[in-house]
Amino acid sequence: MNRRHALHTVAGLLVSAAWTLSASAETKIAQEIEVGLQSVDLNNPEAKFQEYKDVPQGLFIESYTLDVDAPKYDLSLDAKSITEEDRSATLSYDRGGKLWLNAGWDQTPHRWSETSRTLFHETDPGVYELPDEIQDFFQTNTGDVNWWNNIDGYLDDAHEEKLASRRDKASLGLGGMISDGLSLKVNFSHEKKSGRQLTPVALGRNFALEIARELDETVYDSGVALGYATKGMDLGLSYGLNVYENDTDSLTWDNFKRTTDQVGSSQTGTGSAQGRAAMTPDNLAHMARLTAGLDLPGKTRFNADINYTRMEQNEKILPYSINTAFTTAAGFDASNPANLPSERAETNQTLWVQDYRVANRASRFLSVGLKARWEQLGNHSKEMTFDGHTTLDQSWSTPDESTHRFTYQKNTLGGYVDANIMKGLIAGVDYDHETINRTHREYRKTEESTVVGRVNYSPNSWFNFRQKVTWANRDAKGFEVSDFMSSTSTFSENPGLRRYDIAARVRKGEDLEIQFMKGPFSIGWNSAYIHDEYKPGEGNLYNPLVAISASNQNKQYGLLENKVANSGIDLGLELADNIGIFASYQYSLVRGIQRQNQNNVSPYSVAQDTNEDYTVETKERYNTFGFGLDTRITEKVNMSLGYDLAHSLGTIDYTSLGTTIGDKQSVPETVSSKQDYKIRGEYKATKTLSLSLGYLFELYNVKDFAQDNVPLATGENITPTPQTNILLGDSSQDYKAHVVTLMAKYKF
Amino acid sequence: MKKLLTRISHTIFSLSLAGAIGFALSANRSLSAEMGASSMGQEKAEFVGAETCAACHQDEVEAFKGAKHGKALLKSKGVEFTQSCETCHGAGSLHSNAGGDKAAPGFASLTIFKKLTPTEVSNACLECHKDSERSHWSGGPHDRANVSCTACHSVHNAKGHGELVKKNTSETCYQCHKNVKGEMRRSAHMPVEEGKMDCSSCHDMHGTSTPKQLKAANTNQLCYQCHQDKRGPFVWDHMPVRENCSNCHHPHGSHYDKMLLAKQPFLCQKCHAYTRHPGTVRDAADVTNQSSYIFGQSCYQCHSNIHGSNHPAGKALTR
Repeated sequence: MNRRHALHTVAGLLVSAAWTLSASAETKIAQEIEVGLQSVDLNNPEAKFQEYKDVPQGLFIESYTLDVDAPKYDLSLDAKSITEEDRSATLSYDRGGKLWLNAGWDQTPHRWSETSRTLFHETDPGVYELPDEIQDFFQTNTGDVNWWNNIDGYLDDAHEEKLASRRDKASLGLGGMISDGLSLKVNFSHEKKSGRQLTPVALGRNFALEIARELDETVYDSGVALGYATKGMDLGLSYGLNVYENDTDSLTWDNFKRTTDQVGSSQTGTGSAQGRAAMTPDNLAHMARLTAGLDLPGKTRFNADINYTRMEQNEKILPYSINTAFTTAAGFDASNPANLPSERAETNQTLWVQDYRVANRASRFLSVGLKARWEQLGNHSKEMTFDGHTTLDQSWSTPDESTHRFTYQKNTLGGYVDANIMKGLIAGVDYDHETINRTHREYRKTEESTVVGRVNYSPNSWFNFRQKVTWANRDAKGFEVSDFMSSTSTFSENPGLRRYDIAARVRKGEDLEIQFMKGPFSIGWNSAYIHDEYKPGEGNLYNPLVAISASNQNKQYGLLENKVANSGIDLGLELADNIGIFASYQYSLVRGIQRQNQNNVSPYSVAQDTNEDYTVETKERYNTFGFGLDTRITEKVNMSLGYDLAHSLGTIDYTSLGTTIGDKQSVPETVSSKQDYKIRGEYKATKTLSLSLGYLFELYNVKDFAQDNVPLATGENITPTPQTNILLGDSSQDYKAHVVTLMAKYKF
Repeated sequence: MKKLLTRISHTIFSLSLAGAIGFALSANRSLSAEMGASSMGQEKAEFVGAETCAACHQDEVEAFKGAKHGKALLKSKGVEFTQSCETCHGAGSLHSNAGGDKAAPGFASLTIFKKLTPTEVSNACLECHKDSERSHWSGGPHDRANVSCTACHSVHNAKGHGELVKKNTSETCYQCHKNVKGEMRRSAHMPVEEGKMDCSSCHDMHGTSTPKQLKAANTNQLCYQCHQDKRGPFVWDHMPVRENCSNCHHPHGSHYDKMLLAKQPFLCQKCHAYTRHPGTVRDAADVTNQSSYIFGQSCYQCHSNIHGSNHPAGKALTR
């Protein structure tokens, strides 16, 4: 507990004490404080252990609650993790539902790495520089081999830079009843995000870098809402403004290899002295909403919900490149912002969403409903044409690059019929038809019809049966292959590619849940299954400029099939009045099959060459298991035992490879496993004091070929082009943690 | 103007639809009024007060004095505690006169919530709690799935904030949504597991007009409530990102970094099989060599502004 934490704690307790002392005799006050002493032994400094929380070492205050029950009002203060970095507190005041106030404070840490190191020093916000001698040395000693052979000598100078952020949020809400049925609410929050986060950057396709970027972001959120409710009718009208500010507009970083600019290689990054990227811009959103609910005659309920959102940002646009050496290639000074088509972004988008729903229960045996939803996203940004662009700040490409406005409109019409066959038994059918029109994707129009059949059977309080069967068919229309391919361009889309989020598809699904809870015994079974099969839809699968042959196959590429299956069981048993056990197990399998075509042999072509086809099968298997035992040994002593397992396994296998890539081997499997062993004993010393002693053993294992062995410099083994990647070394690590906790809870 | 006319016509259509259905049916009373009467209508019984109830149900009455409803009825509705039992259970004279004889005709005259259908239970609660926050309950997914208010809330035996039957919101939801509980544990320590978020951070269990009962107009607007940096709009947008964040992320948890649906580069290659490097097979040899195409941040290494870019060279989302 540091000094600042202690001051906050004392201040909070003083406020509580002052309130307590000023309370009248009729006021009932209840307080509870929980204090702990904890020993933590972590064998590896792995950030995952405290990813979103704090596990304190030594003395800590876990919680404090104050409940004031006065004749005319209620007041409560609920503070958690008071001396820890993930602390939060909520103060609530309620004057009989006529006037209420909520104030809150919340800190949420997010830790990524405790071991990362970097050679970069932040000299100004968003500017990351290297020691001059590094750049001078490599510029003098040019050549990729020299560069790689000598970088190791500098890595010892890298300094530690932990990767972690924290969101601090203060919020205030005030509401009250203006008159009978009419309420007004206002809210405001201020959120600050600070810390350091891994940000990948590149100066060449074989020259990847990672920066420990400083975060300095602020969010202001405010809103006002009017509500009116009377018998059979309610209305709501609200407005909200959300403002996001990022104090780092751009990210600038030094090139290890150069100290002066030149036109260079976008493969190896030998040109610019620095690189520069745009960071997320300041932006804001206005949100307005109107809701209405009305009981109509004939046991009919009507609901309307109309939302309007306007999102906009107008950040200054960075120059074409930070590299000053493009004047000849570009025909103008690409580093001068005056040569941009616009000084500012001038972007805005609007979103209209309207929902209408009618539900009718005119008959005790039949319920029907209709719904309509219109969702329209419109981009109204300034359209710009840029006179070429830079490739990773190394080279200049001359074709114009233009931005375009777009619209996306999703309309859904649907309805349902539910039959109340007998008490507790409902059988129903839903039908939805969704139409999407868009101006900016390969498929301009998709239509999907979904039919859902469902049965719910709950005849009593101890048995539940729920089953749902889904069938959906999505048609994709208007594929414009010519917009995305060319027989001459070296960067062209495979014409047979169908992007899974817009491709034609048949979906079949089923959900089943059965629960039985009777006497000392409870058992629950659940399962869910979804199978998506993707289809070509309308449009060419081949390059129409080349006749169909072995090198132009008329095949569909992309995700072909996806399956998700879940099943699980829960068991609970009260062995005796003082002993209860429970266990749960869940299994999930996610399986996808995607067909690709490599197309990377020069001369590049969009023709589909059988020899370069390959199929990838991805699988993720998830197992979660939990077991617990609670026992009351005596009237004053309780004990609990627990075990939790969360295990996941990912495999990526090449199941079919063309002849030119037949020697490719599947990548290694990835594994993540967390096991918690817990034991806790509680002793209720008095009516107001209880003590507990707990022990947690947490075991975390990770195997990830991309994340679990990240050095500071890597890639040297690739030939013929040396890979020259300077990373932060934030490897995922296994860890073991032993946590012993003594807690005291006191009520007063 | 055309869009405005379209919106107006949509509105008129929907209102007409609602009106036509409503007036075509002949029942006279509204749904809520009907349910209220069925749950509380005890024509001949008279109110007897909580003291009478306590003669047999002392533990329940004592516990109710400290419960939220026991206190709130007086402060918000002006209902004295002595009247509070019968506010929900109906007048109790016939029941008390039965003297504990279950065979007596008056014994079953009280409203016993365990014996009501889920819809009847919910409608009884909505007598007081019907406002714009619960406007979408009737005909919503939980209502239609035979889930009543008392499946999640308990007036007498609440264990969590909001009178929940479990210690917190997520545990309450996991009673039925067990597969989601498994999904939440896929990412080891994630905010929901640590108590920094719960199901109600994103979903409104009382019903919304949005699919999945999201607390925003659509999926992206919900995500932007915390991830404002992804909102843009950018000079260069990544179109699938604009349409739906869940095209690439699984918000309940994933085996992969950043809760992605699949590992990079395989996720990206589901949509990007262009000529040259996007479609190239990345295999075990690339892993051994720690190629930046598959090692570390993979595609994101160069395309680091994957959610959108404000840079003149941002079309490929690299700057």
